[in-house]
Amino acid sequence: MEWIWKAAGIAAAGSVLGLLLRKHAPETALLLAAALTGLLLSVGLDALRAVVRFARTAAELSGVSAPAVTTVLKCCAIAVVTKLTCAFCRDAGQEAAAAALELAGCAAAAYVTLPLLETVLDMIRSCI
Amino acid sequence: MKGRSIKKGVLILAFLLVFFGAAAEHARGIDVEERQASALGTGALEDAVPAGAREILDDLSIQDAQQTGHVTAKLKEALFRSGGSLIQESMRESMQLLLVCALCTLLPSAFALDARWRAGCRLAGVAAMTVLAVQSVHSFGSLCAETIREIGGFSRTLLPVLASAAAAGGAMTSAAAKYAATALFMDVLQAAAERLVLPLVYAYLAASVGAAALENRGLAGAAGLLKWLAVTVLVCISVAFAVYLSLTGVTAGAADAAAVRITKSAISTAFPVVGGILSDAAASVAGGAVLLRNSIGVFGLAVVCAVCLLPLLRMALHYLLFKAVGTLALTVAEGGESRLISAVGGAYGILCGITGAVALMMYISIISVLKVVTVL
Repeated sequence: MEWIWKAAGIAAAGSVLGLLLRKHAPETALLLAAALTGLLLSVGLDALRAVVRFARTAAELSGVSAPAVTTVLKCCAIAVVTKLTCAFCRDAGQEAAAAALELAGCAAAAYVTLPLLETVLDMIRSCI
Repeated sequence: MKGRSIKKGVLILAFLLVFFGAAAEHARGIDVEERQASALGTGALEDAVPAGAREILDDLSIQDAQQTGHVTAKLKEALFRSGGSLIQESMRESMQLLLVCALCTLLPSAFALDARWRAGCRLAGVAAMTVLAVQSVHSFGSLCAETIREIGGFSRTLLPVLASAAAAGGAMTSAAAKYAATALFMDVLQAAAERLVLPLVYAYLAASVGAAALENRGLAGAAGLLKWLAVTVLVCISVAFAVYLSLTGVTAGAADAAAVRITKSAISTAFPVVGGILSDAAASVAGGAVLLRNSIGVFGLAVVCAVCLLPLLRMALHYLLFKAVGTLALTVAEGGESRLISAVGGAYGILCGITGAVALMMYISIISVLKVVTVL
């Protein structure tokens, strides 16, 4: 659990540094924000991996078909990535890019869910 | 009407043949019960037992059925043999839905996603839960239809034999009437279950899925209406059958009792001295037919029980566990996901109701034929 303290420290230090840089070199501040996001994600990656591993193990134990769980996990991953990137775009003042990315994220989530929806339709067809 | 009169005529003829023929053979020392069993076609009845029930009852014969303890032991053994695996199967399937429900609810909360993304994850979760649930409900629908067909097929052999045995015991009119009523209502229930109630169950499940995915109250209301409709159709057919059977039993039973009294007194008075002896001999022969009727009835009850036992247990376990898991899911998901799990449990409940109604109809029919008036 000590990684959360490291992450909190890095985030706080990075934010103060970004605030100082924003006035004189906003491009550098943006690059710093990007680097900070990547670093924080890499610090929390082990915990994320553990959560995904747990979900997969639970799915295996209960015998849930892999596509069912994978689809939900992929949807969450798309949501997280879209949310972070949209926030980054807004920090950079790129509202249009953020909106476009949100739309793309929604489309990606729908695309990931499509195979399951197709299976549902096939089942309905077989029932009729 | 014409067909029923012919059926009644055939049964009365069978009664007279068995009654007087057996009386004569009894006087000659021939094994009456064996001849009666052969005349009624009990061998064909034993052959008509479905394979699954035969496996459970271990080639039970009509004579063995008189030992009810033996039959109960066989059923209990089958129950204990399969009970554990059925509970495991129900637990596994309900836990699968709970897991997907928990994942699609807890992960968006853990990542602090906004309402729009939560709705997206819920849609993915509901799709995954639908895939898991529809597969299972569809296989249970097929199991339900197969069980109904097996009971219907067996009843087509059991009911004529049982009605003939009851007619040989003195219940000419009521046995025919009850046979006709049961055959008619079994056909009606079988057709209604396969063509109306099962599609209603699928429609109910589809509406529940839609309500869960879109958080739509209108669809949830439609699902409730479809469920009510399916249950009402089942209840109406079962109640109509019970009322019809009771009314025919009362009217035809009185006619049988009067006919038996008149026949006995006519024989006794028509042939002085010998008439009384003949009447008593005929009564003892008819008593044999009653014993045979009871054995056939118990055999029929045991077979129907064996056919329904495991499917009913499976459906009842699924119903109970899915309802319990649906309630448990409320702790992680207050939305449509938990209601979807309960709705799947409700679908299992209706399927259980269909199978139970068919089995109950057969039970009521067999027991009502066993309780008809006799010569004794």
